[in-house]
Amino acid sequence: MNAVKKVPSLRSMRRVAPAPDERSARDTIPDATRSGRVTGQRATLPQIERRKRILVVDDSATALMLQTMILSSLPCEIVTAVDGAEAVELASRESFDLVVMDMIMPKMDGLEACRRLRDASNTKSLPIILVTTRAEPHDVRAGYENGCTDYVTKPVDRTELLTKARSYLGA
Amino acid sequence: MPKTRTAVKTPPKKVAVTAASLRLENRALKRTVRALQDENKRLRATRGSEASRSALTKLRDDVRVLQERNGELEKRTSTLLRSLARAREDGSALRERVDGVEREYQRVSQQYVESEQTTAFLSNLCVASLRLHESLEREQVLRAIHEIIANLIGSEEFAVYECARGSSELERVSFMGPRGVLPESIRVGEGLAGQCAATGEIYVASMPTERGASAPAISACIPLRLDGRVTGLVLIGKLLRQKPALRPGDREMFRVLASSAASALYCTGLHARVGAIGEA
Repeated sequence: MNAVKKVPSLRSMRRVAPAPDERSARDTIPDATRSGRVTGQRATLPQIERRKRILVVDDSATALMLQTMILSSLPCEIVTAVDGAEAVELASRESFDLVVMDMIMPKMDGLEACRRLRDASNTKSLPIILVTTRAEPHDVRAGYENGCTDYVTKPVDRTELLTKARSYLGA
Repeated sequence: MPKTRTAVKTPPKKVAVTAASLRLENRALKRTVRALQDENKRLRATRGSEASRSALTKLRDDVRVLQERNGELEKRTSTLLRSLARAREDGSALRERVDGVEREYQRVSQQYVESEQTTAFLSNLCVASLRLHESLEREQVLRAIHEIIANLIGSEEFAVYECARGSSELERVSFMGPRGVLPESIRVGEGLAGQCAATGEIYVASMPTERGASAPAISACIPLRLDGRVTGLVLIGKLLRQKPALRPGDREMFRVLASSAASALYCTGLHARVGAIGEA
């Protein structure tokens, strides 16, 4: 991005959404302006099965909000992070089934985060979908060379993202 | 008939027919006649016996049973033929129903695709609206406009302009993309963007349909309108490589930008003035 006028980055704050029963109707619109968790629709799977978890990473609050809104239609818990460093740190502590990550971010970009996740023993086989405005062949190649599993370009197509997420989650 | 055979095969002159040979021949013939008569007697005796009568009765019973069985089989055959005709009718009715279900499935699939598109479109509008109105900080609102254009519309070449009340010039307040592509200021009424600012009408370029044709330098021009007055303008240059053309949903997004971005930016000005008064 060649933005001349720099705008301040969003604060990194953790937010845990209340249980679905406690949420009001207003809370169903995901607030993704900062890191946090949003729970999607109720799982239809047996209770004994662990709820799938998706980590959505993007420095843009708009992209984060949109992707969270799209993925909320899956029976999954969604956790958000605003940069690669936070994503790597979260993935090292918690278990996720899928990572949906922007490529260009402050602190640590998506490619570096991909490499780190692939190097760590607990995340080396974690599916990672890179979401980016960059669609040049060398950008796509760089993504795969750094360990991403799949690639989605912006503006995000709802059906494409949901289809890919479902295929990696087995949902 | 040995005599005739002999008479035919052997000429009468060469055959020495003796009385002894004729007697022998006669005796042999008599033995044969007796054997035949005995066989005849035996057969006559068997014909009227109990065993043959019971065998005949059994045969008649068997014939009757077979006839009954044949009748049953004929009945079953006709029943089966009727069932087959019914099954054929049911089959064609089922085929019609399957065709109907198939058509319904196609219709529902189409509806599903349309509803997904509508959901995506509404999600984009909802996100844009939420983002534009969630802050009173000018930088945050400008950032939201940037993110909406980059992430929801699909361009990384755009500029935001604002116009002071009474001024005929729009000044660039924020932009993304290479320097020099989009002007620093726009005079109202001059050029494409100036005309948009003068009329307040959104301009959307017609996109090339041929493959490989160059995209227009200005994809869209969105005057920011508040209370019937143009307060600013968003100029969008080239779209991202993966976005060949603007979609109908993008026009709705431009309408949201035109009204909501204008009011959001105006609110940030009000907020700053209120803050300044409070400090004073």
